[in-house]
Amino acid sequence: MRPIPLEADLLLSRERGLPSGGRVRLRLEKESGIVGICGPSGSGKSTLIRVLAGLPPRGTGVIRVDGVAWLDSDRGVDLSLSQRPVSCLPQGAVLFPHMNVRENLLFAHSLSEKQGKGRGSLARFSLSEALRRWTGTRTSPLPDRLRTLVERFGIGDLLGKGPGALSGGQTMKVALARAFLKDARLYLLDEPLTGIDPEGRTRLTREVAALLRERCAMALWVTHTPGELSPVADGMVALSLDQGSMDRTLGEDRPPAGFDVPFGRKVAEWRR
Amino acid sequence: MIHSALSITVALSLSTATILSLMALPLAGWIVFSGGRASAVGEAILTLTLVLPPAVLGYLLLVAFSPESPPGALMARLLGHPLPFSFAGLLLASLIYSLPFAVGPVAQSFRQVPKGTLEMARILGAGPLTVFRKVVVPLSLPGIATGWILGFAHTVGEFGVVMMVGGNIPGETRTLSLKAYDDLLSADGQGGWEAILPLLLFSFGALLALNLVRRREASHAPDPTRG
Repeated sequence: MRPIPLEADLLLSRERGLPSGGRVRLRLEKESGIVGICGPSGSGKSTLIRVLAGLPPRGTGVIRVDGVAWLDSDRGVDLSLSQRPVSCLPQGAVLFPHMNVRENLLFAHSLSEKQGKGRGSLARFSLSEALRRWTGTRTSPLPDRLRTLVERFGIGDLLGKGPGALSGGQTMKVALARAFLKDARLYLLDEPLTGIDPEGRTRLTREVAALLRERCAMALWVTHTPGELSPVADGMVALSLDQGSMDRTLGEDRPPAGFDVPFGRKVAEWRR
Repeated sequence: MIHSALSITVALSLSTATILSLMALPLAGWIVFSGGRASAVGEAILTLTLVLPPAVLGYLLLVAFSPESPPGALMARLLGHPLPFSFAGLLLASLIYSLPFAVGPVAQSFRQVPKGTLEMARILGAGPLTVFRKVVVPLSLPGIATGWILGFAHTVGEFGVVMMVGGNIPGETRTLSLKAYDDLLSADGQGGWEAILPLLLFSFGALLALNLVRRREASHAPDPTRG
């Protein structure tokens, strides 16, 4: 039997490391798809994204992708960020302030190239290559893969600008494109459309969905406007504020709390 | 060979500041990013010279550099002459004495690199060395410049340590600050303007350079009002 593409059963800890967060279980049974995540502020959406990416705070529970355990607290498995094939657009994503948009994208591109080739880049170092790179970052044509993404995300006219000259929405677009420069199995997007105008939102939503299909990749997508995401999402997870959890100690038999299924199709499966 | 106090001071300060700036990168990186307890101890040792009286530090270095102590003997063997009362000894002492001034600002600016920026680089697949080279260091250039300037200025002005370790040998280890002291105490009563003027100039120049770095930094800082 084919392994399930994505399954997670997590106990999210919230502030101060207290295990006061809710239990979240999710499953995506399609090779490629989008799981939307919504819920009020403080319900653990960003924490869920970070735990899946392998960023602090560490979660407890199980994450399995294509049958490979990324996290299995009982067995002491906890892959680090660099070991997980993820790309992530965390909340408040930032561009590197000392690079313009073009350099930001080229930096991410070179990192993903390096990753594809594996280690040992020092051995292939050549002076002419280094010189070409050093002089060419501002003028040379973009690599094809990068140029395609720039066109699809509609950020061609921003390439020469510095991060300080961009609006919030423009920054998000560039950061989103940059996140997709990395080839990943799972893309974790925390409110990726913040600050983007309605037209751009519709266009980018479709663009991201298409990219995921092409790459046969999955995404978890945090949104405050589930209706907007529903045309492309395969399921929606609504986290709720786990009331009373702050003063309640966690018992073994406590039912998993904090999720429901607004329009879950078979792909995102939510059980009590 | 006889050198003027001015050229000795300039050579000593330039080499001290430059060597320290290079050393500051890995040292500050270790203090700020390793997160271990050892780095807290390391930082305390690095800043020890800030609180020790310079003459005491000079005495300790003199003892350590002496050919009778194992490290001093080793250095004397490598150099061909004992460390105390030589330019090499002076340089080594200055490196130790000015270390916290050069490393402090670098560590400070490493700390100010936003966590989210470092995290973003790691997410995109950068290893620790790449993050350091491509993100941390470029974003810390003002701190690195500040460290160089402070290292330079502090070495120009040092007195107690150079007195103890260098021995105030004219033409060899007598720096401007020692010359100023000698001139002021000399019998002719003319004072030490020959040494004091360049010292004033160096100090003013260093402060001016510091302010320029700060202004540049302020004008380049991201505007928090922009989304």
